[in-house]
Amino acid sequence: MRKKKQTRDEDLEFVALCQEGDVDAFEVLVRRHQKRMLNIAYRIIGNYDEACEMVQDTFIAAYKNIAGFQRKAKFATWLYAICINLSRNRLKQLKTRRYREGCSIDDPIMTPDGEIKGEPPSNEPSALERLEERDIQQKVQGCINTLDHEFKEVIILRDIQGFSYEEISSMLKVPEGTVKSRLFRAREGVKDCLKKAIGDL
Amino acid sequence: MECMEVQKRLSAYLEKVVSPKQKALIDGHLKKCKKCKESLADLRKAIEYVQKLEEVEPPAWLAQKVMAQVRSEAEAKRVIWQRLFRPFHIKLPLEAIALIFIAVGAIYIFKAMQPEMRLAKIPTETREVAPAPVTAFKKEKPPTADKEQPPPAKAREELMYEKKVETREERRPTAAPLAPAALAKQGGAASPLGYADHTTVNRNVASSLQGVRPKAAAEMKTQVLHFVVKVEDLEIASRDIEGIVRQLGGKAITTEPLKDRAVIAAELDSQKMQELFDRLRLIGEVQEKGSPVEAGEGAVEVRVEVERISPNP
Repeated sequence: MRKKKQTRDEDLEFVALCQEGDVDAFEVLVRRHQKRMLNIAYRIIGNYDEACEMVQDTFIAAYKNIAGFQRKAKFATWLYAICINLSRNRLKQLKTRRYREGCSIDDPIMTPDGEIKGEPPSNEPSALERLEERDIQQKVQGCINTLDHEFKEVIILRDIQGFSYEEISSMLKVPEGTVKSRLFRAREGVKDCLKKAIGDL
Repeated sequence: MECMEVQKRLSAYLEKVVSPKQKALIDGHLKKCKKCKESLADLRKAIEYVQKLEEVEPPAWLAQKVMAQVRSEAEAKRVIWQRLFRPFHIKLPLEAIALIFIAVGAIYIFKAMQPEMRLAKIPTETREVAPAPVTAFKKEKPPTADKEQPPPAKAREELMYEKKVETREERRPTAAPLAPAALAKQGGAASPLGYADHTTVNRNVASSLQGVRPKAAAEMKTQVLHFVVKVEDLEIASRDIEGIVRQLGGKAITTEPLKDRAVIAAELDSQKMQELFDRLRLIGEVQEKGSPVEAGEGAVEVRVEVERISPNP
């Protein structure tokens, strides 16, 4: 928590500089937030390269709109919210596209069995049967992928990234109560999926 | 508590967001129920797996690529700003001069318009008495310096009509030296002055200003049409004629009831003349005096004299 407060103050300092036209100040913010942002995007989309694209797009969008950023809110919250939105939309695009184009071998994990399936996200028993051969990490990501986006996002932000309910609430623009109930459902969803994939946890 | 109830609340229980009462119930149940105990353990494990997911590292080139794009974005913005403000140095004095001209022009027009504003207020009070002369002035709104006082109400149309010609002729030479831009502004600047019915007058003025200049002086006379209608019942006929005139879209209708006759005057569209004539004939014997109307000339002054005749024996 101490670190976060520090970060927040330090962020604002650089944001102010950016708003005045200091481009180098923006680099500080980029280096500070890129890793966390990448991980959020990666867990949402499930593809490393796409996630890198999202990070770039997010920073550019943030820079373009930095004049409009009101320093009352937390910069990181605003920044990650952009990332989540872009990633969510990108995933939707990818799913529809892949659904039309069919499967490709080159694409990394999108579902528990490592193949890209189009909409709707598959819960086919046959796919899950093959989960056992895969690495646990991949399986976990696969299970996360099966979740609908609103549940996926909260479990990533809470259990992977460790944001507070308050922060998640700001990022997703939903009440804290909603965040909690979504989290519970997400966790149970992952639990059920993993049980089927691994057997005994 | 039953298994199903406990199962539903396991996540909340784990997160410690159940009420103390519920917590106690669940604790109690868990001690006895193996299945639910296992479910809880599974839940804990699943969350652990999620939390233990490894973080990925951003590629080294990512920050550099981002900054390259940001810098080109910043450069683009800078160029646009410069392009907006560099010509400012040249434009500014020009714009200042233009502004001064406009301001001076506006003041001039405003001063010229002021007496007209006073005149415009009159119609509401003296409608019956002197609408005709005021109509004439309303219609013209001359931007010249000399402001005529409205002639006495008893003035005949001929006099008024002459004055109109005068003012129009006067207006033309003064109008000519004005720059075309200023002239357009007269049309435009007049409306904010808050004239009664100024928009329609404006249009008349503007179009008449356009039309007036190329025409010869003689053609600018307003047509005056004179009808004499012989009737037996003066009052009824007068009312009927008034009604007709109104129906035909007559403006500034006035009625002068005299001893054995009545005079109804109005401004009508010249295209309605034939219709007026036909309808008057239904009322009584009509005689036409005055110059024949040229169609499409715009408005004409119509004067209908209603004369009482004694019934035939």
